[in-house]
This record gives sequence, C-alpha cells and structure tokens, in this order.
Amino acid sequence: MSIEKMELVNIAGLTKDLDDVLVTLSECGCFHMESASKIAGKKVGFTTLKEDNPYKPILKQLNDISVQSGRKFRSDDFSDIENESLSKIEQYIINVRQKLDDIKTEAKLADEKLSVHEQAMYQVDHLTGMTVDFQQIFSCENVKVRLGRLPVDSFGKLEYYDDKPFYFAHFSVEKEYYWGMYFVPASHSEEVDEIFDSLYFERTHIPDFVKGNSQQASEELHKMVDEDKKLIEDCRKKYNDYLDKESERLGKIFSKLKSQHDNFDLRNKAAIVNDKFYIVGFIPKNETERFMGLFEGYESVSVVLQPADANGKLEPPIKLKNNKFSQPFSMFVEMYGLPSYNGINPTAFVAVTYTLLFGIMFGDLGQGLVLAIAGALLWKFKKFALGPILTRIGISGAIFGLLYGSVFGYEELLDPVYEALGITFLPFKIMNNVTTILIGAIALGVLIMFISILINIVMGIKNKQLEEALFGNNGIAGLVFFGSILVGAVAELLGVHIMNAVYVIVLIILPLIAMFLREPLACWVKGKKYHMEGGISDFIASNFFEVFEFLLGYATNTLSFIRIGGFVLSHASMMLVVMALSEQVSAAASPIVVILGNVFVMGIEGLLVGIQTLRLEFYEIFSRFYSGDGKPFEPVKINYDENIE
Amino acid sequence: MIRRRNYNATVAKIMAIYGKRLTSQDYMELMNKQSVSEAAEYLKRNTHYSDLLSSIDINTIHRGMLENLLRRSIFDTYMKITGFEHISKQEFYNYKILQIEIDEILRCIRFINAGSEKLISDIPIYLQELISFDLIELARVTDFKELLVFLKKTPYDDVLKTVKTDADGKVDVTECETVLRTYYIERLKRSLNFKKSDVDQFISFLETDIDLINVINSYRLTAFFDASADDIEKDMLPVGGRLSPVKKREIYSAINSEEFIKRFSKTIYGRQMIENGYDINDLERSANKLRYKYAKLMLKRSQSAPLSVYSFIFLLEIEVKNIISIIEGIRYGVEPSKIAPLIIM
Repeated sequence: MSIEKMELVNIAGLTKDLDDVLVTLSECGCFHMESASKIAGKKVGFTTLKEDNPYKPILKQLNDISVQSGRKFRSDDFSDIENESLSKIEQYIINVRQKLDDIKTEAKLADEKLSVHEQAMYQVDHLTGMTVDFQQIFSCENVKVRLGRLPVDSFGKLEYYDDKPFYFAHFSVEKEYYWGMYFVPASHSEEVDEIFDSLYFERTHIPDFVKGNSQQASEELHKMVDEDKKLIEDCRKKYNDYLDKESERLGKIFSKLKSQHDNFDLRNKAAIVNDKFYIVGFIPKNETERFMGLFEGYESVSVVLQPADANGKLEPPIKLKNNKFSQPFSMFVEMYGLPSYNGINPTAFVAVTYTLLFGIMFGDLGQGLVLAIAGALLWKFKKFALGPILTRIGISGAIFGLLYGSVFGYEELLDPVYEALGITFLPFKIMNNVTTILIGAIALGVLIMFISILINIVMGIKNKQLEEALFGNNGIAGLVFFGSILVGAVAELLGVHIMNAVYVIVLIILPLIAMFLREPLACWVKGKKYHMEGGISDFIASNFFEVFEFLLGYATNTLSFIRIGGFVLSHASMMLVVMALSEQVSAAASPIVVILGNVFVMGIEGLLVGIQTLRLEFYEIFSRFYSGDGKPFEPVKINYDENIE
Repeated sequence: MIRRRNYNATVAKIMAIYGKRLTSQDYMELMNKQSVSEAAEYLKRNTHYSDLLSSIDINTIHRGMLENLLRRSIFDTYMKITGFEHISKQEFYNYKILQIEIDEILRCIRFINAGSEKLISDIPIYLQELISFDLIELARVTDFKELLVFLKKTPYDDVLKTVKTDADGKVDVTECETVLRTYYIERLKRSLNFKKSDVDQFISFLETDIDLINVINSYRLTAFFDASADDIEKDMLPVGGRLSPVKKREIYSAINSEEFIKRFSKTIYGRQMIENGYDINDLERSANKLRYKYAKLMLKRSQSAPLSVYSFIFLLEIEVKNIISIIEGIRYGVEPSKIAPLIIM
C-alpha cells in the first residue's frame, strides 16, 4: 500500500548497438524512458537524433487499409518474415491496395447504377394505375405531357386557372405532394408550363430505358435494382474474401512494422556523442536483477544504477503498490492525480472510506448483493473497470442493509431472524433514528477529517514541510483548534463546562494565532530569517482572510458530511414510496412495481451515492493532505492499438 | 365571480418551443451555405424546422416554395400553441387571422396597382377555412372597385370605402395600409379581455411597437419621397406611444434623412439604440432590432398566455424573415459578411 521504489538507470554504449538496446528495453516491460537530453545537455557535446521515421509512410498505408476495411490489425508473431526487406513489403502493400481499390471501383459503379434505377423506380411507382405505354405518351405530337409532383398547397390553386387549356391527373398523394401528370395542347405548352412553374411543380424526367406502361416499367426497374444490389453484394463479398486471404500476412507485416516504428521513435530520446549513445530512465527496484541480466550479452554497453532521486532534473515516476482489496480504487486516485514520489499512496484509505461511506448510504441487503453480482459480471464479461469497485461497495451496502434490517425495501423481513437470535439492539431502524443518523454522519465525517489531518501532519514532518505540518490549517495548530472547538461544544451540550478562559486561550486562540503567523513561525523553527513581502498591512490583510477561509472551511467541511445521513434517509424514503405504491396496485401488479421500484432506486441512488462519496473523497479528504502532482510510470512498449496519423 | 384561467401550460409550452429557436451559430452556418438546397438541408437536419421539411426533397426544392413553407410554419406553430389549452376560440387569439386577412388584401391592392397577375402563387390557400373571404376569388380581383364589391359582406368594406381612387382607378397603398392597420389595432384593443396588469403591459408593448413602425415609415417618406410633416402625419398610425405629438411633429419636420436621424437620436428610442450599440444611421434595421428586443423582453417577463403567444409569434416571424433574407442572399450569391447585418436578433 505504498509507492513502488524506483532506481535511476543510466545506459551507455556504442551507437551500433543502439537499436538492439532499444528493442531490449521495449520488450522488458519495466523501463520508463526519459529524454536523455534533459540531463546530458549540449555543453558536454551530446546531441539528440532528429530523424524521420522510415517506417511511418508504409505503416500509414497499412493503416489506411485498416480504416477503409474496418479491420483492426493486432500484434502477431512475425518471426517468419523478420528478414523480409522493407521494399518487398512496400510492394506487397501497394499490390493489396490496388486490388482492393479495383473491387471498390467496381462496387461504386454498381452503386451509381443502383441510384439511377432506384430514382426511376421511385418516380414510376408513384404513377401506378397508368396503363398507357410511356413511349406512346411522350411521342404525342399535339399534346404535351409532363410527369411530376405538385405541392398540396398548389393543387388547391389549380381552380384559379379554370379557363386555361390543361388537365392535371394525379395518381397518388404523398404527405406534401400530388404525384401525377398534366396534359396541355402543344400550342399552349409554354404558358401552362409557366403556370405550373409558378406553382412549384417538380417535373420528373423518365429515363429512356423505361419501357411499357407504369406496371411493366415498375417490374422491369425492380428487376434492375435487384440485380444492382446483387452486384454490390458480390463486390462486398469479393472484398472481404480477399482481405480474409491476406489478413494473416497483413497482421504479421503490421506487427513487424509497428515494432520497428515504435523502437525507431525511441531513438529520439537517446543522447549521442561521437559514436556513443546515452539512455536514461527508471525501473522498479524489484526488477533490478532481471533488468541487469538483459544486458549481459552486450560487450560495449554499460548499465549504471543510482537512487531514484539522484538527479534533481528527473522526477521519478509513480507506480502504486496496492493490495487486492484496494487495487480497483487506484482508478479514483489516478483520476485525481498520482502522488509525488515521496508522498503517500492514498488508495487504501480511499478504498476503506469509499466502501464504508457507500455502504452506509446504500444500506440494503438485497440491493447490495445485486450490485455486487452485477459488478462481478461486468468485470468478468466486459472487463469494466468499475466492476470490481461495484462488487466491493455492493457487499458493503449488503452488510449495512443487514444492520438496518432492509431487504429490497422490506424493512421487517429480518426482524424474526434477529428475534430468534436474541439480538435486541438490531435491526437499526432508519426511520426511527433520524437524529442519531444525522449526528452519526457528522461524527463519522469529523473522524475522517481528523485522520486526514493526521496524515498531513505525518507527511509534512517527513518531507520537512514544517509550515504545513505544524502551523497550517491541516497541521497541528488546525487539529488542536478544530478538535478543541468540537470537544468543547460536545461537552457543553452534555452539560460539562470545560470552556473556561484557559481552555479558550490555550486551545483555541493560540492555535488561531499560530495559523495567522504560520509563515514567520515556520522560518523561526527552521532557523531562517523571515522576509515580509509587501509590508505589514498586506501581511495582516492576506493572513486575516486566509484564516477566515480556514474557519469557514472547518464549518462547511464538517456539515458536508451530513449528506451521508441525508442519503441514508433518502434511500429508505424512496423504498418506502415504492412499497406504498405496490400496496395500492392489484396483487398481480404489485411484484412488478416492487421490482421496477428496486431497479429505479438502485440506479438513481447508486449513481448519486457513488458520485457524492467520490465528492467527499476529493473535496473533504484529499484536499487536506494530497496534491496529486506525480507522473505515472509508463514503461516503453510497442503499442499495437495506436493508429498512425 | 368567474376567475380567469392562467393557461400556464401554454406559457410553458411556448418557452419550450422558444428554447429551440435558431442561434447566431445556426445563422452563421446557414449564411456559409453555397446553395438553397444546402441551406434547406441544414434546416432539415439541425433545427426545429426538421418536421416541416421532413417530407420535402431538399435537392429539388424551389426557393419560393421553401419560403412559403417557412411562412406556413409560423401559422402551424400558432395553431399548435393556441390549440394546446383550447384558447384559440377566445376573441384575442383571432388577431393572427385578422393580420393575415389584412396582409392578403394589401397584397391584392399592390398587385392591382402594379398590374401583375402573380398573386395566386403565394396565396396561403391552406388558411382558406379560417379566412372570412374566398382567397381564389380575391386573386381574381383586377381593380379596386371590384375589390370593394368582393369585400362587401366583410368589415373591410367599411374600412376601405373611405379611400379615394385616382383617375386611373388606382388607390394610395399607404393610405389603405394606414386605415386597415388602424382597424386592426382597434379590434385588437377591444379584444383585450384579460388581467388589467397584463392588458397594461400589452398596450405598452403595442404602442411602443407602433411608435417604431411609425418611425420606420416616416423615415422612408422623408428619405425617399421628401414628404412634408403634414403628409407624413396623415399616413402614420394614429396611436400614441412614448413619443409626444410635439416630439413626433419635430421629427417629421426634418428636411432630410440626416436631420431626421439627428432629431430622432434625441428621443427615448434613439437613445436606446445608441445604448444598445445599434447603428442609428441604419435606422430601419436598428428600429427592427429594438422591436425584436422589446418582444423578447415581454416574452421573458410575462407569465400570461396572450402576452407570451403574441410576443413569441412576433419573434418567430422575425426568425423566418431572417432565414428568408439568408436564402435570398445565397440565391443571389451575396457574401456572408453582407448578409450578416440583415439578421435581426
């Protein structure tokens, strides 16, 4: 439950071995590489390699095939093509692309034909009932015929043109259009066309290949459309079959190229002087032996290990060490930010407090177990990262449900069990103990805040940050002040008078003054001289407001924990509503209401409680001792999932 | 005592529809389209006009038809919101029909004067059942005398009877507009049968709007027709707003457009235009922007159905006008930077 200890690794050797060394580093899986230029610098003659990656263009072509075909290449054993030349591979990829492009062109042509035929079919299908041959209609010499559609609005306006020599016959009506044709004497066609234009008539031009009457034409066109679709399907099949045939070789080529590409990119992080290279990075301390063994075969390469903080320019990366229970909760810690190398790993604390707080708020034996099972299934089948967390907090909810005597909203179901066992103080009925729950929530919050402040004090002393540890609001001064106020207040409520003048001056006012003067006091403790910047008035003003903010913070942070009690009550109340509803419906519908109600409450309450607990963790707990400014440990490796842009 | 209903659901529905209005981003996207089809495609895919355009083939749509459809959408929305709690039977809500009837009569008069026969193509035939006269027959009217005969059994006969025709049988359109709009305002005022505070608020909005319409019309008469103060006064809507008769007279007496703007800038509306950063030299557009602003304010502040309906439909009409301006701009290849100032919002 701590932070993995690291070693700083310095690797030097001849440039002829650089690529082999980089392959070894990317395969070992435990080397976090830093840019050597950060510490080598130019003054001792080191330069960095700035080369174009030769594998990138060809990998890009392969990536295009992947994107266009929708197939993702994965890592594959490429030992049998290890020695194949780059030019041979390049030619092969060009051939594959050409073949795929040919099939696509064929499919595109078929698609264009389909579009034309479908368009004609759409038009002809609106003219069903027209038994005359299209060719005959269009070959009339004295009468012009225009096919198309007229907006419904315009159809109503035709009445206005009663005196004009045309006839509009419609075959079908769509939402906004009348489909049909108008007949007009050739001598008046210009005038009538103009009228229909002004009425927004959209003319349909039937293609020359449409023969016969509307029914015959429609049948013929449907046949053409089916043929086009079949051709497109054949092309698709041909495309997929070809890719299936080549996929194994393409996968191997992708793995080989990606490996060479990523290793080549690592060259940019090495520093070069003359014919020598220099690489720097970190490995976990427990991997030292294995790591050193990897370089035994290199004669010209030397590996030197140093303590992780040996070089001030390089900040050691963070790898959290967690036990099985707290491991899934590292997701929340990483979400906030990793601790610094000399900091504390808060995952265990988060795991315990999150599980506890969620369980208290979500307490229901049945719902908790359902949540735990759902979490386990999500992890098993979908590898959903929240799954293991759901399992843990679900079990916690079930335990608290057991204490509350609540099973899927039935609050009396466990009463006989407790009676039979002779346990009189359980179940703890939520609705009968509202005040106790709210006071308990605040008490639990205060306890968590005290622990957070204590962690901050210990870490502050360990890291020699005395201002924070001794005189800060989350230091000893803050702890004494906050604790004294709470103890005094509780004692007064219980009728014990301890808030006398000495108590107030020593335990409340003095810590307040210490917080006010924390900067000069910290300098004094360290034996340094304090320089006041901006004069005494600035000092007083800024520290007055900061201390005022501390005081507000104590009050609001404490009250913030009241939400724990609030959610305990809301969960119970929502289930009460579900139960009341189930009693009001028929006996047959009652189980459905109970099931749906439980699903609804689990969804809504689970989400709300999950978010609120995370909020308490981040705002009320982390803010007291945790900065989250560490950088993650990321060992170099070939990333087969990443696309090449 | 009969208690007047609040029709809060109608107000809520209006606010929900108003929430879907076009944003400046939408206008920007529309202005940058290369063709009317592209603009229609954008409206169909990204805005509250998608239902309206769902069955329309946007690749072949005619600009005129698109504009008619957009205008029709205003009326469809009006029917939807007034039908929601069945308030359309109350006299006040007849105002939209009244407006449309007056607009159609005025359009007919303009066509008569211009000698054009194209009136039929843009007539809103879908409203025939709600209109008090036959729209097809109105389109067949060829002179003013015939129009009066046609309108014989409608209230518009009395209104238009006073308008004199010239030797060619033509009439002054401005005069016709003034008498018809005055009739509309009187009818509207008579129908204000709701809470006194709402009536006061509505009257205040209406009078402000009329003030601004009068400003726009008087500015046009001064700038383009060198009209005298007497002539201008005669053609203005005779409703008092926040400008006193003396102040109005002073503005109407301006000898040219520059002087007009100078005098107008000292009025309450002029000052508001300047405060809001509107270009007072582009008086017509700035006045319309102010009208839009007042309507928006009324919609946001009002919890009463009639005020919400009136202001919302007013804003919707401006939105449609904006879209039509953009579509016309696209059709004639106008640069987006030149269309942008035409947008009122």
